[in-house]
Amino acid sequence: MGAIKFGDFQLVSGTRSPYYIDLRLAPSYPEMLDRIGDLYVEVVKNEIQPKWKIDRIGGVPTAGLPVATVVSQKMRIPLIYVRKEQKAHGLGKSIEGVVNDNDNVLLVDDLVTTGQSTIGEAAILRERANVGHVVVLVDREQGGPGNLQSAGLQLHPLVKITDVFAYLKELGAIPPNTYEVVMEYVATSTKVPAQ
Amino acid sequence: MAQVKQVQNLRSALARLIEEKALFQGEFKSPSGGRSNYYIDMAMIFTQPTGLEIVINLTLNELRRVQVDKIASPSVEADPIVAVVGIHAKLGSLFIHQGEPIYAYEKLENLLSGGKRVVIIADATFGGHTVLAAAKALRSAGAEVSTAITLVDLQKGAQQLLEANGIQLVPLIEAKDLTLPEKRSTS
Repeated sequence: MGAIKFGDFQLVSGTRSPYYIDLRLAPSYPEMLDRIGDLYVEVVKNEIQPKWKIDRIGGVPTAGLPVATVVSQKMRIPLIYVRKEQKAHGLGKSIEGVVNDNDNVLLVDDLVTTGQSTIGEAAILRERANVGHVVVLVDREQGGPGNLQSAGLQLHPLVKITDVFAYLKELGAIPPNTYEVVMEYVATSTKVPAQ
Repeated sequence: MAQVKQVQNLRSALARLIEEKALFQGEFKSPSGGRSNYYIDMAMIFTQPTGLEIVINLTLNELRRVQVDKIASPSVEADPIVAVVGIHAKLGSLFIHQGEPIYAYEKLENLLSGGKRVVIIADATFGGHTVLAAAKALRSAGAEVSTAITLVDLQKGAQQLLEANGIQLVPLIEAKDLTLPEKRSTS
């Protein structure tokens, strides 16, 4: 579906990357979004629910919110989400939906790079609730799991990016030299410390 | 006939749910900069499983009446609804925020290749400017936009503005279906 592109891209963090994943494209393919939602639910049921009661699904706009809503609907667990910018009109609140004190919130996002933005979301939610786990489709393997763990967040990725590259290489979907470039990029950027 | 009755029941359930959970009284700034003595926060409805289910069913019911290839969200507030409705309607969903497509490295034109008839789905409409901005972005990418569905239309001019721009606004709920504080005051 073209959600992964190779070239030279600027990331949200300001650094450059030889590949880019845009999961905002997933909802353009409803069967794909549905299947991705099922995969999230599977991870949540197998890895998290046995040891942690989930009261709320926490979505992360923009790219993570559609899939968080899908997971919320499939599991019949209420959704909340943190607004990127506070609305000038209306109630002007930063958390949408209903959250009670000490609710357990499972963060559902599209991907994790260094984990910085996820840690920011968790900090806002933690003013009210407990945030212990994060499920993402892709771990970009740039220090995310370690940084998140230091912040008291356990990461549950559906896939690791190097596995995606290996799979694409096997399919012949990326040229060998592109494969080398992106693997080298991941290997050398893994040590990026959290700011 | 049974289905018509069912839709009516869902509509009144949604209206009561809005009054109970999503209607806030007080002094609020409206999106257009005006003042209002109430505010409706539809996130209070669609973030809850029961509310979301009602919204999905009513929206699917309206989508069945029109010819549509894709659905689109005009703002982050509507993204959750559009994403799940897309799955149930088996329609691709597009996201336009403040009149700009949200995609970093993909052209909206390319996402319209499978069909160009797009229905916009909004969480709430006031003056209709947000929906119109999304319609303009979609149209400039080659989409045909002739219908917008809104969960609640607060009857502040959206119907007229959109109609003047060739878009029929289909509200699941209108302000007149609700008991609003404003009806008791002057405005």
